Amino acid sequence: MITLQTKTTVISILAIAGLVALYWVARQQSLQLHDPTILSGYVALTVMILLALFNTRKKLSMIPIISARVWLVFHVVFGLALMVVFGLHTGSLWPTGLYEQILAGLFYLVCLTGIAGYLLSRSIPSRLRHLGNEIIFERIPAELYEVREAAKGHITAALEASGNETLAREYEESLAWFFARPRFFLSHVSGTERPSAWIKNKDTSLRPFLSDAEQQEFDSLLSLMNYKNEIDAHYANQRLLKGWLFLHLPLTLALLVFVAWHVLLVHLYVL
Amino acid sequence: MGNEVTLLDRPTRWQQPFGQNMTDEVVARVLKSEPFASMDADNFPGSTPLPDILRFDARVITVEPGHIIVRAGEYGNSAFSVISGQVRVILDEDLPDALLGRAQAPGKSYWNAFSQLWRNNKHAEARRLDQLTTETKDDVILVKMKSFEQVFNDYPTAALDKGSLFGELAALGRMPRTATVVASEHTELLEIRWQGIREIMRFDKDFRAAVDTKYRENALFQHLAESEIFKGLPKAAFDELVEKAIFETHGSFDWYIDYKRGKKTEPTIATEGDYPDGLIIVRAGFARVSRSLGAGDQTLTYLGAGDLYGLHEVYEQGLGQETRLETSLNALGYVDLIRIPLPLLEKYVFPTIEIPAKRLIDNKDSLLQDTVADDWLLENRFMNATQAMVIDMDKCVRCDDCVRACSSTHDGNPRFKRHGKTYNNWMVANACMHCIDPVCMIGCPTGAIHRSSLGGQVIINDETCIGCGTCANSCAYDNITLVEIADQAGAAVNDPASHKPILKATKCDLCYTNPGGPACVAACPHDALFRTGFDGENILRGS
Repeated sequence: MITLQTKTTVISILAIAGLVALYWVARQQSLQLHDPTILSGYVALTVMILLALFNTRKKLSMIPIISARVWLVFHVVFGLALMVVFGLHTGSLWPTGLYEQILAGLFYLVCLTGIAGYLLSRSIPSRLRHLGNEIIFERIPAELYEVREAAKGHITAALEASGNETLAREYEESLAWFFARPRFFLSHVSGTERPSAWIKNKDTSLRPFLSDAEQQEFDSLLSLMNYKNEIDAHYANQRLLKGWLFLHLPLTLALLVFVAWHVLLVHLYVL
Repeated sequence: MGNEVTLLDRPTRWQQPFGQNMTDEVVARVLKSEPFASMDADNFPGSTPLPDILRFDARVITVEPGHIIVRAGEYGNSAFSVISGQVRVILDEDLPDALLGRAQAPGKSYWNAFSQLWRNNKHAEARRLDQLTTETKDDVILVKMKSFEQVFNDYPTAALDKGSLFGELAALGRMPRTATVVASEHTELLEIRWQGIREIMRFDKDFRAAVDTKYRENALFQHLAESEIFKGLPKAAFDELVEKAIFETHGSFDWYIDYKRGKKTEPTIATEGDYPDGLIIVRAGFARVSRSLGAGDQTLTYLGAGDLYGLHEVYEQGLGQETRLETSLNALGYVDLIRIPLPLLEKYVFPTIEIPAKRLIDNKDSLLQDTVADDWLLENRFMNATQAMVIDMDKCVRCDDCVRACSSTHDGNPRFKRHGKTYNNWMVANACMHCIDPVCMIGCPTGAIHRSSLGGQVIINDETCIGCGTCANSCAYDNITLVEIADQAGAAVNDPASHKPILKATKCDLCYTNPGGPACVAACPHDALFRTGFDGENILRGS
């Protein structure tokens, strides 16, 4: 059985060989005073279409057309190769005409979102795993509802047990905000300890004012807050893992449309 | 579709008989043949009379000379009784596949698989109700063995005549068939699905005793013959081993009931430091090997069918050394053992074998973290898996491409949950593990859940499932889900009598009809998901 590592190596060698061959042919064409951009343009277009087919492959999972893991390797390796082909084709980092600038801008954005997505997909899974509980993204609203209801239950219980409104007031003033929806998005994405510090602060600032009966409920409330914090971390990181595709895919579609128009114009007015 | 509801009679056991040809006359004729003629019909309760067991759980099939009835290595869910004629058991397991004419899997073509893109129903769990209410067809597909007369001459065979029963041990034990059986003349057979055999065994003492005796005579011989240390022994030695071997059962056959209630019983079979009085061979089930370490026990490994315990100690005892058991052995829920007494080993086995260098106690040098990994595996009874869905959570981006792939190959309905028990970075997801011992099959009243005869996958026949939930309740891993079905337009389907929804059991079928195998594996772009058993090296170790 051929390992994924071997397949990656083969695909990488193919990509490098393709680039070398393209460079050599383009150079030969230049030396013979032919325009090499037609060749590099069509190579770029072909690779772009192949890369875009990855999404189609995902929808055809019921038929064995090469496993998605090999497709992803191809997508990443040839995506990087395409950046070189693009450089060969344009001959500069930033073209001059407005249309070409839009085209180049879209291309760079697609590349950037792709690279960012790849890096996110390599780093976030491990971070999610270390959060502890595994929480399915689609279940987060239900989890939040359950946590919120449980929190309200503890507030009511504390009120009934002690007759003091300390916790109830605190809930109204700030905890309701915390339990209402996912919070501290940027902190969770960047991995800072701000959310934990916020919870700790609530603990230290409130506890001196709570009776024994209230403290018991407050301990349970703190557990819920910590769990809610875990949900928030899952929400932020999973949102990011899913979110980059919402940039990458529309940008790719826009790029393909602009490229199609570009090819048409080249055929109408240049060739 | 709002509140629209379609009515459909709730399927019941015996609503769909195993075969269509069991008329009153045929049942009466079968009742006059052995072994049924000797049975006392009064021993059977009014709710499960013998004629009804035969009518609904059996069918008559006619075979011609050369027809292959069962093949060695395949899974089967039924036994056969010879009504008239003769069949021959081919005693050589190594028949070439070409001779056996193995049937092709009932797979989807590439076009059928592809066309699911637009054919899949947009409503969840939609069924074609006409398919659910049609009668089952007799789907006996018989293949003729080429040059069967030559095979009968070239290979050792045993004849089974009128009244003989075969195939019941594999069917009841959910094990592969151990031999190939071919018709040697025009023969009429009664095929009984295992639910029927189980009922007959429950109510007929003599039949039950006959099956037990047959086990000792046939299957025990087979078990011993398969073991490396008994290879090459003369027939007389085997006869004595078979006669004097001791059967032991530890734990409960219904271990999953206690397990699901949170009672992880592990009855002790042997204790470290005890006198080794015989060699233990695991026949079925699993057992944990451990040693005491500090205030606890260190798991060294687990044993499954065919594995040996105590070989080194008993050998050294045979040499006259004062030895004690180096490890303890506990049943993981349930285990069937064969114990070979020391004198027999000294007489027949020790003079002929070379003792393997590796001892069970050697695993004591494993890292403690690996021991914990083994413990986790056994605590959760995952050693039962042949095709567990394992996800590396350090690679999984939670994209759910696996779930979508599963859904698109199952008419828009996913058959697993991307959720499950986690050890370090490994998640064993809630997907059918196609167990070595599929306890979900125990008690299915219609035989809807069964092993595929070719790949051995555990699959559910949606048409004969009555939604009783026995399988889902039995599954120790919560990998079977009962779903409320809908009609093609998405309307709920209710039983007219109770007005309650019609349910069906659903689970992963390993995409056994799909070209290319499990769609979940092929769809994972991050190389995070794979299907695996845990025999051999525990993949969770070193994580």
